[in-house]
Amino acid sequence: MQKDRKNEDNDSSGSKPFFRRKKTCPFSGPEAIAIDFRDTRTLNKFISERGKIIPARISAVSAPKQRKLAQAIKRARILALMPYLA
Amino acid sequence: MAFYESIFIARQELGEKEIEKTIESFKGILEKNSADLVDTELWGLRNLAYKIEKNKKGHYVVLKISGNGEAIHELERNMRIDENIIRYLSIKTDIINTEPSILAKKAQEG
Repeated sequence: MQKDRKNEDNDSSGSKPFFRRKKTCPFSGPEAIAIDFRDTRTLNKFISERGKIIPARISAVSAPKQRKLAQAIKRARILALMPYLA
Repeated sequence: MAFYESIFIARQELGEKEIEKTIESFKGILEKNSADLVDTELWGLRNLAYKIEKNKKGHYVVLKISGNGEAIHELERNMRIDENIIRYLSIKTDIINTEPSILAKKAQEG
């Protein structure tokens, strides 16, 4: 297991032809956006076309913020501000 | 004492006066349960993201309340009885923000 991980690390940091900037959590840091279930325009960025919540590993939202975000999306769904399924 | 936000969606057919009346009656219920209706916010008639009881649109109303949980419990019980209310959600908040939210602003603009 450990060996595999090491190899992966080497692959991503060294030999790849293009450089991918590491995404950071949009709800953390100095320019953080507030999470609010009323703010559907922001929340819409974190759901898929199907209306599902995008996993944190893809959107790079930090774990505590992802929990808050999921809660906000669910509240917006209850109030029919956002769809359960689209 | 704690702060709450109670949001409900009223049927599309309801007029402004009827909504005012509903808010007034809820205010009475809250006061009977020693809670205060600090502020109200109207988001106006909005499209629902999905149909609720065959309704496609609804009037959104926010009640900002300072009181205890029992008052909220009683308020929710009355919301369930009222057939003109198709959905409600009560949330505990740390502070009461009397500034209009994004959706309230949007309703005022047009």
